[in-house]
Amino acid sequence: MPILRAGPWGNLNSPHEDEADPEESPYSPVNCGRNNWPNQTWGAVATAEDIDIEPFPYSSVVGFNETVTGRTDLGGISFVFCYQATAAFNIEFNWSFSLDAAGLPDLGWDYITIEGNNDSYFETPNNSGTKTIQLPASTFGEFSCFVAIGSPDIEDIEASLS
Amino acid sequence: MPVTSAQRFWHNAAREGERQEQQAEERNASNRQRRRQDDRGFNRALGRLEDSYDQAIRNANNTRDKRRLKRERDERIDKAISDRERADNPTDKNTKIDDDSTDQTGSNPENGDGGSSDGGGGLPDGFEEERIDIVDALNNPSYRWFLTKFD
Repeated sequence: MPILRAGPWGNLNSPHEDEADPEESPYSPVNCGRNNWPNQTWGAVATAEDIDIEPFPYSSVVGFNETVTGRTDLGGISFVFCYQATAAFNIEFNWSFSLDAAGLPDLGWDYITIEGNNDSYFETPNNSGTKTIQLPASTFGEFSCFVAIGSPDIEDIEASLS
Repeated sequence: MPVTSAQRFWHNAAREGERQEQQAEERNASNRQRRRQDDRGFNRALGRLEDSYDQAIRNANNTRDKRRLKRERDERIDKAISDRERADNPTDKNTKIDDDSTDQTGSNPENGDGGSSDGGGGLPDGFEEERIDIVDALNNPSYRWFLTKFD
């Protein structure tokens, strides 16, 4: 059965919000599965965050395969988007950084749907990799993921969705 | 007191008016029912058309064919909808029937030009057709036409 469009931005508490400044808004784009709406390109709010390097945190809207970069010794990159889907679909979360044994990386993702389905995951990741996450069909779902490092030195870190 | 010919005339005229009003009401009810049946039939036909294309899209084994089928499906649905809208909106938009016992011309003040419009497309009073985006069965963006009404 078709799903009525929500958005264009929103979150689980408020699925019908106008497009907003990602730096200030608690909302993110509402996507049609992996596809673009006729008047809205697929997007996620990406935030690069560090505890003491300006101008972090910095948020922007990115699409598939747009790499977000940062330099940090204690921080990371996160993505969040909402979606509507009549069938399950996959999202790939890609990351890369250079850490030696003294570094402490972490990675996680979670989703929750308005129907109450949810799942989450956490691990200590390798220096680079890809996670494939299947998001369930939902009239409205919200997904987020992050990768972060803690290091004695400032390191480059990058991540993308595909 | 004897009934005068004038009284008899007005009495009969009133009865005749009531009879015509009753007939018009029955005719309008019948038209509305037929319109609802037509709408349901049209929507079912569109649904079948879309389902058959969706099946073909699923069976297509390359992206080019899938895109072509999607484009063809959307064009056919758009054409079917616009053809129906044209059929619902004849060239002479001033001519309006079925609202009361006699056909009337909306531009004629004597025929109640100030009355509410039915949108020109046989829609229920106060309702409008509105195109609303949806996610279709293949997670693709699409749209449907809905009857909407603002309070």
